[in-house]
Amino acid sequence: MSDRRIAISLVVLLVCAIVPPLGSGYVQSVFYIAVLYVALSYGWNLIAGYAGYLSFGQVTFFGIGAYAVALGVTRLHLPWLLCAFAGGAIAAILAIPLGYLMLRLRGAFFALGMLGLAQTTRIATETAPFTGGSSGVYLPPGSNTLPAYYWTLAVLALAMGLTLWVDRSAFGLRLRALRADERAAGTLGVDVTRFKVIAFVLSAIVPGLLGGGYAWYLTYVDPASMFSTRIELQTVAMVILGGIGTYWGPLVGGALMSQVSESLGARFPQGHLMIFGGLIVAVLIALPRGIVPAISPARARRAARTAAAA
Amino acid sequence: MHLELAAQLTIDGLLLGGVFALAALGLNVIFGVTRIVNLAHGEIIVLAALCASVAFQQRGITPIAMLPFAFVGGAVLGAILERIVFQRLPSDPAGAETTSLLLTFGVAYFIVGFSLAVFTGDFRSTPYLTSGLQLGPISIGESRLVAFVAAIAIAGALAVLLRATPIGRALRAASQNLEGARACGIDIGRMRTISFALGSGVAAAAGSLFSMIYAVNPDSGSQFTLLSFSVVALGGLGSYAGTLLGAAILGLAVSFAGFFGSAQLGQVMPYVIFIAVLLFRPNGILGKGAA
Amino acid sequence: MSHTFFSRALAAALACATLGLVVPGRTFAADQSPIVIGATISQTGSYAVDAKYALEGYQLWIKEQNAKGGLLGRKIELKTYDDASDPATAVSLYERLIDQDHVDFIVGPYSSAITAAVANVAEKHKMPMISPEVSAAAPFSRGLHYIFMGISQSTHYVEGAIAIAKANGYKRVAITGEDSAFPRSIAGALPDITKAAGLEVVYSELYPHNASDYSAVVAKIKESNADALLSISYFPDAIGMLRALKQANVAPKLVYFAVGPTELNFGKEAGKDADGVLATTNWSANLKTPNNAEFASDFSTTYGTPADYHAAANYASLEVLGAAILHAKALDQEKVRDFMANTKMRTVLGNYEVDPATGLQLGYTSLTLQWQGGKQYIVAPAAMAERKAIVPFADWSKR
Repeated sequence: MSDRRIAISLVVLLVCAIVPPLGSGYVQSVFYIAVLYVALSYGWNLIAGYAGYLSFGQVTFFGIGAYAVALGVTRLHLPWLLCAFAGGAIAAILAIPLGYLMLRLRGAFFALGMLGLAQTTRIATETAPFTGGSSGVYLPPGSNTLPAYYWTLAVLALAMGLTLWVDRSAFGLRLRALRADERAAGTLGVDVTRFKVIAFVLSAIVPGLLGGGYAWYLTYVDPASMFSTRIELQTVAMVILGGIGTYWGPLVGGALMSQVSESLGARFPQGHLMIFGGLIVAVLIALPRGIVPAISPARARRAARTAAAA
Repeated sequence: MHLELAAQLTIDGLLLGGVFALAALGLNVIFGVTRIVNLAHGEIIVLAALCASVAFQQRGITPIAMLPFAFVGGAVLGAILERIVFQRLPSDPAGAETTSLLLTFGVAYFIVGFSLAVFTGDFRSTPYLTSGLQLGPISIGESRLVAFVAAIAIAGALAVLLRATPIGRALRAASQNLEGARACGIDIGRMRTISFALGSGVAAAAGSLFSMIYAVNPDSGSQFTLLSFSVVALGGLGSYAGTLLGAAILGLAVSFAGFFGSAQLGQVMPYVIFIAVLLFRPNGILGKGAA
Repeated sequence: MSHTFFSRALAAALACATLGLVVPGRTFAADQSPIVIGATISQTGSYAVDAKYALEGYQLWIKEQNAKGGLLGRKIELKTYDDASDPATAVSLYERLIDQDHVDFIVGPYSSAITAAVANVAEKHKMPMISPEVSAAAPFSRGLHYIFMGISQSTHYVEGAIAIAKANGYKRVAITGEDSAFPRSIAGALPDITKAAGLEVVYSELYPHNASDYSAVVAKIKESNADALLSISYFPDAIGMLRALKQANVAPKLVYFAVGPTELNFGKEAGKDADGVLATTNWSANLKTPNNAEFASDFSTTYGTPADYHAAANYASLEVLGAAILHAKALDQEKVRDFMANTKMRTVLGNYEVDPATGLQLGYTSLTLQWQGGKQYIVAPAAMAERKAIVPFADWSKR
């Protein structure tokens, strides 16, 4: 069964690798946005879905990655790819102390605490002397779509791989145990803090790597666009719809939401937020675990069983 | 730093605290009783502020006169939301917490869309009570004074409600021990609806007054949610005195940090303080329940 | 069984989506087809409020032009999408306009952030793009050849207010504004400009976007004893600052709020408190520029609301594009580009002229307006002033 998952995932990635260079600039940009958000969703799912810590601030790491490329390229004259890797590394390094700190909060406290962290990082970027402040940083102009795209696709592969590993491994099992009941998991000998922080770091590396590609794609960064609540909330919504804590959830949610967004957004620019919100509520009421577990009850049962096993 | 300045900054801080408290009280009611964080809280405040602004511009109804309507409107909205949205939650507490957080998240999205459709993205406020009272060298903004007084009055009313009325006692029982309350025959679903109604009503009342202080548009909601949450977390769940105290502390911090540090520092103070406090005092200053 | 169903459905969905994107769109017959101009508009998201009449500005020009027979004997059509104030979305939509919808020409979006990203698309396809809403110089200093600034440069913004301050001997200046790209670009240039005018900056600080409180900033303005307040503020923060000033009873002799007071709502929101407030606009209905009076009255008749400078700037950008197409006598991107780079022409905004090397706007100037008696009047520069500026800013108690 997991072989099938790997096979399908590889097919998806292969299609995503082959199609864009054959298509127009438009096709490439559509694929870029879709792959970006699905990858962000996989990243978010790691801390929110598997560990049960809903964060409304993962975009903090996304912005850090974006600025790593922006500043690395314009101030240090380093190649962008190197800076993008560095962005991921910096995000990971920062996520360790941040994780130990923030994961002491629970539930809504953690969620909103992370939102506060993202806001604080945004404001810090606006005021820090070396970041160009709110004027932003202009990267050398150019049409960087394909390089940025392939980087993002590679990160998606990484994120899916990480998710697959978490889903199947003993680590993942313990993670889901602490998601179900942290105190109980602790008494059963699970090193709760360590596992939470690992999940948090993994969940920070993904947006940290993706941010760099985004900066290279747009050739301009500024605090508001990079530490954007919009990006965060869209990611969250995608995973909710698709199925939080499942392997396919981010992919289904991401694909679904971009389609809905595109068709609705064109026809009802004002109304589509209402429809979105309504959709999220409807899906959560009717399918509390999202779409994927509803389509695949066997998988849902398995997930519930492992959750209850703790 | 001379005395006048210190006094002015202190007054500004306390008045700002009044604004923060007013925003946060409604959230505390819902959170305190149901453990549900209403992420749509800020959106309800903003919706009420937009309505109050339009009511003033078109009919001359002052935000103060609007208060009872805002309260009732908010209460009805809250009750309806609770009835529609929160009927089916997963049975495990972790799942319930996650789902309810995400549900209110969806509701927030919905209300923003609705507000945009009705009010457009224009910024609105109410040009009423905009002057400052002069007490010697100290200036006190009229609209802020009203908000300050309202915050204390509402907090007092809520405290009385919870202690002295049967419904209030039932609400408190439900917040302290869900199973025990259920065993005593308290209808938990009804308690939840009432707390949502009450909390949303208070939020809407706050919004009505806020239209005199801020210019808002449908996207302004999330800041109020975050701010309210910081106050509640700092002051402690379930304690209205805590909300007032937490708000006062945050107001003073913003005021002094904004003056001696920078405006940006003032802006991040609420987040920084609330995170710091939660790490060292997870229940907040006067909190009773577990965080 | 559900696994195989699911995986097949997924594969099928992906295949359909891919095919749908890769198969090219229809091609039109060359001569009878309309000339299509494409753009994205920020109809939702954070820029929506500022970009409010952008669409109407474009639509009006096209309507008027079609009534006169279109361009080169062909009807003109507008194709727009909502970019939701998101740069990545805007890039995708411009690619869509060009690759999928085959628009003949493009015009620029709102904001430096979106324009910086979309400029790469214009450059890649070698399609000239006038940017009617971006006045900061930075997006035009990147060595690009296909973008042009269609509004006056932001560095000119505060000149009028500074001249008034200088003329009245208001030497001590406080500078504030929202900490975002446009105010920063102006605030960055201000220390030099004020020094050259012989003024002294006694306080300078930007406040964050969506600030919850302005009293600390106002307290600092009070402490600094500034004569003039130059605040690069948008609408909500201008209201917030004005109220905070009133509540603290602080009334500098000159009060300037860059953008916020240009909105007609400002008078309604602030009531009598608006009187005396200065701001900068790029256009006025009373400007004696060609066709301006017709534009202004046509706009209010068609849309039921007076035009603002955003609508005028967008209208003017199409005036330039239209003139370029007529000059080229064909839908030739290079000829249109060269025209845009080198021409000097009059539009409703004033004198269009750009630096051919960078696309920076040289010809358009800014106008300083002041609220007097509940209405907006142009008070500077003298050649275009409708009334004289009234200073000092009246004390709060005397209103």
